[in-house]
Amino acid sequence: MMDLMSAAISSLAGGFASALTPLNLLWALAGCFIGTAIGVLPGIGPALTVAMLLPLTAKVEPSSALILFAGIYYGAMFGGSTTSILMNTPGESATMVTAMEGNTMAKHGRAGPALATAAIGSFVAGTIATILLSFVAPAAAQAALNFGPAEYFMIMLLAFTTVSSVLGASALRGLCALFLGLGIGLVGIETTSGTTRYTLGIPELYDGFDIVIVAVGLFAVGEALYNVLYLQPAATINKMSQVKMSASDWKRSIPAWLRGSFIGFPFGLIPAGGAEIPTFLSYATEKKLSKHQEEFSSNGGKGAIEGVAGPEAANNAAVTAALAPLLTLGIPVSSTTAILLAAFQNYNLQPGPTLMQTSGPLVWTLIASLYIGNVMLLVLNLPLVGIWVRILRIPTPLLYGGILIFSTLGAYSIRQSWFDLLTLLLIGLLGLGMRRYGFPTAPVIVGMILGPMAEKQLRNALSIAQGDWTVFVTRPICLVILVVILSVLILPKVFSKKAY
Amino acid sequence: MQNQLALGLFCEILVSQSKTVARLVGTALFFGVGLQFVDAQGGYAGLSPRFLATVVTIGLTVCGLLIFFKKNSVFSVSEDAGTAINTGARFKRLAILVGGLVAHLVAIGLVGFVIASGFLMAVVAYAYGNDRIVRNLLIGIAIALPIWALFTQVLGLNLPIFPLLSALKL
Repeated sequence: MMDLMSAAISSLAGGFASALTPLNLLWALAGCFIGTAIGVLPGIGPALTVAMLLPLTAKVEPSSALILFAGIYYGAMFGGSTTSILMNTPGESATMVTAMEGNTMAKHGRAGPALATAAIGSFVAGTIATILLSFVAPAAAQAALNFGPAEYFMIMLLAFTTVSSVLGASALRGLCALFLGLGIGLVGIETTSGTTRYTLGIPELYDGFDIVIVAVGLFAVGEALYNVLYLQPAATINKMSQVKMSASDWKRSIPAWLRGSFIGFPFGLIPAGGAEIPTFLSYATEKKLSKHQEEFSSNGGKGAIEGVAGPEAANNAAVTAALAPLLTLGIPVSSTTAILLAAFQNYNLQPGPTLMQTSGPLVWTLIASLYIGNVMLLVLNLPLVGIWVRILRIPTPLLYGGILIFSTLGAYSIRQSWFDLLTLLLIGLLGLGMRRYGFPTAPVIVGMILGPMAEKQLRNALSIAQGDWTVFVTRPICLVILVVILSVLILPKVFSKKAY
Repeated sequence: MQNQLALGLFCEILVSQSKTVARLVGTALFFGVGLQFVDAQGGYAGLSPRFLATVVTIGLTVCGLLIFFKKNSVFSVSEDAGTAINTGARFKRLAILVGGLVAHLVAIGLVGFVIASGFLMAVVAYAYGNDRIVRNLLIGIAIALPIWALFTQVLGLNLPIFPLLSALKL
């Protein structure tokens, strides 16, 4: 264990050496800046943004591109709280509590302290979670080195279960999306046998659908098409107050940040529904422990600062921890990590147990950039809050025009073909339909990427076992993963009930 | 009046639900019919390239049927969708936006990324209710030009500035 820790520390030092180069610092700064900006804008999430920037993977170094994407992933969480507090428009369900309590504070003239506790809490939680990630990730990767094809297949089955059962309103809709993704992944030449599947004789489809086109189509074009139909009226912005916390605010926030961090981290690690459950659990905990019950918005109060501090910390800790299952097992537990998986894929890198060995420096550079990004975000967020609020003044028509320009650029730059733009539009229409009827889109991406891989591992596992399917229950690790799969299906429901 | 609205909403959900179930089962049918064109040789594992295709076909069919038969349907419209149901004007906007994207994919091969983007910006903004076409076209070009410069000059992507011109020179 000590060996593993000292190895982690020395690898992390190497990661810092790489992440602190001027070029990578610039990428991190750009990521944090873009991330905060898109986090501020309601309706535009990190998944959409990273999807639009996937074409960068064609030319930019893997470490630089992943640092940029990590900054966006992270920065969006910081930016999201600003909109929730000032406008009461949570970009995602995980920031709903911030919107509830923080917006009440803002309405009573305490927007400044609410923004400050959210930003500092995000910093504290992000740092704690990154430290924990630095030690958990290598240990998990080490443990996973004993995996064979049967175990890998079960891990992919776990990823399928996770994304389809927890990312969306119902497991049935998630499953539909997953099968759709598996179907899209079928198109093209099957690598093991060399036979074509569902190409309809169209040469452009022999290589299958490009992940950039599918991701951008579903997330960005689908969003633009959906919003032209169902755009909500703009919310009013609360007035800013001075971004300063009183001594009492600090005293109430610090324990809430720490509690939130330790509630959020384990939930990010396990595939149990991302950051939504821990934020509600943290809110429930803070409400129970607070000596200022009368201030909570649910009690008709002016908004309690610990009700913002705890959930914000829990959200950020969970979001950081979610990188561990992605990096060590290749399991994305959120929409953005699903797109990050696509980014790795574009570099022919397969997140999983061997990633730490084959691309160790890259992973450690990424982890080091999280530490750096955290500091950058704290510096960027609080003093520049006025600028972030101004971003909200960009007119919606121009915003979506810009998004579609970026989206078409991504698709067209692959091979300068109108066919790719047509595919983008058709997948965008699919995304519109999915959004309209509440189907999650992330399982499509995961099914498309992991489907062919899972098929290959299944075939290898069965070849070794000479066609014996019991291999998936007789091997101990497989059995453990099977139990985890069943837990993933049951546990979130239990925790949700407790949290609410 | 309220009854009419409720009836309208109910019809919308009913019609769209059965339509989408049909789409799901239709997709399953596509994969099912296509199965006969996929190689069925199993090899050592006893697993042919047809296996996953079969799983997808069965999976989509079962999901479609479950949605159709599920009582207290989990398949209600998404939360914020109800606000704009039955508004023809909005569908007209969607048609303009989709038309703009189709025109853009035709134009980009002729006039290049920058000008086509200006056009796209004007159409998208129009679909979103902003009709200052010339101003938006110029804004689109102003946004696309630095992006084009960044992606072609710095990142090395291939995006011809005016393909028609190069074609005429040839």
